[in-house]
Amino acid sequence: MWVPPPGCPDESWKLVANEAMDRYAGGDDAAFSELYDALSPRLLAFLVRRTRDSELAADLLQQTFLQMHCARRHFTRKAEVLPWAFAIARRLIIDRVRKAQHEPTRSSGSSFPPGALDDDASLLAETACPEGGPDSAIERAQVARRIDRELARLPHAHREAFELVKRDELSMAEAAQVLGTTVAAVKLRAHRGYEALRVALADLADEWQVERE
Amino acid sequence: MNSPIDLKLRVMAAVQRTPSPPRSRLRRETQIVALVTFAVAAGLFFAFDGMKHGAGRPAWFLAASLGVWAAVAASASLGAWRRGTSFAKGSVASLVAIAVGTPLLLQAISIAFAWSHPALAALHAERIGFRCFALTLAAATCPLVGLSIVRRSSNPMHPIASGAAFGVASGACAGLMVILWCPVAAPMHMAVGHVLPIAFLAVIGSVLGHHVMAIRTARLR
Repeated sequence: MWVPPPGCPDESWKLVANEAMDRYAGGDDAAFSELYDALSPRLLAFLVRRTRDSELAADLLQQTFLQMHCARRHFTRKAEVLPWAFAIARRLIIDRVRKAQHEPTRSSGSSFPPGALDDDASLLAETACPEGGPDSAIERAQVARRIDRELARLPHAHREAFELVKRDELSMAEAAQVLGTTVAAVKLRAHRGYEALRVALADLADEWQVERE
Repeated sequence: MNSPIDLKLRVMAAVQRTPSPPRSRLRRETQIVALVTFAVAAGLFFAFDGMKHGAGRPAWFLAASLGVWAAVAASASLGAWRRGTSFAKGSVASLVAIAVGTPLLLQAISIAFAWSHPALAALHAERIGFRCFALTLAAATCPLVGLSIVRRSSNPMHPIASGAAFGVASGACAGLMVILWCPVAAPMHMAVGHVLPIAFLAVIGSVLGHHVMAIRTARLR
């Protein structure tokens, strides 16, 4: 089955995933493979981004699908599967962190491959730094790291909402379900995160402006 | 590093090793819990003299007590056990409001009743309410434990608050049987025998929520 990559505007995969989960909850075991194909790229990206450890992310991906399998009878008919899957993954990360005696998951001693470390920050860097801006790979990587550092400085609630909406490309309603809060609260947190990031990265924007002129 | 295909194979193998019933089983299990709950409550009620124990109460008093208690129990149950269109069964604020607000509301109602009908409230006021306390706990254990097991490892959002709301809803439903049985309306008796067990069940429910309903990482086979 073709699955659009993260970032692709085509959202038909969500319908495919919802329909597959509905069938799987109803007892059609064959639907699990479709469900996995539709959700795993996004879930893995979500888990890698938060754990910074590809092995741990793969382990948590397996756990997430196993939990979805075990709880399939609780999946509400016609509900959206993506926020449910993200909420389970998020809960598993929290549980793993607690089990590791409150050791933060975003540790500097990450086993994540350095080349892939700033994939999403790179995307943000490309968005923030379009044609005409610094175009060398080194500069882009530096900007990506800087964005990542500034993101890490945001209050947890703001960063989480911002990342779900901007990086994981969830709608406000989906992010609200994942976080167990209201759409208005997610909008506010994501906006505050965005504003804080904009202020923190203002010098970069100034540099790019000068270069453009 | 895992290749995507290896990872998928690992996940598929883990899923195949773990039995998981489909959606149709949920309804059946819930119906079984409801039936057992009703049977246990009826058994307890008749084992302790049934309607004879509370004989002599005015019919309007019995009807009003049952009506008000049933309305509160129904609201708490709908809030705690509802199944909406989303997997999130309610915000943490609404679940906490159920867990904290229901016992407070029931106690406030009993105080208001005692204030408006002092003669009825003075009847058997010396009874502290230990039997009512025990009966409420005994009758509420079945729905609370049963539904917690039915919903095991299914709550990724607020398992502790959900468990507390489950406990309060179970206590309020069980309390309906105890209200039918108990002739005492004194506020102190209501607090010890009828409201305190509900608050106690909220604590038990939150523990069950944390240990049974919460989703947590498991050792993979």
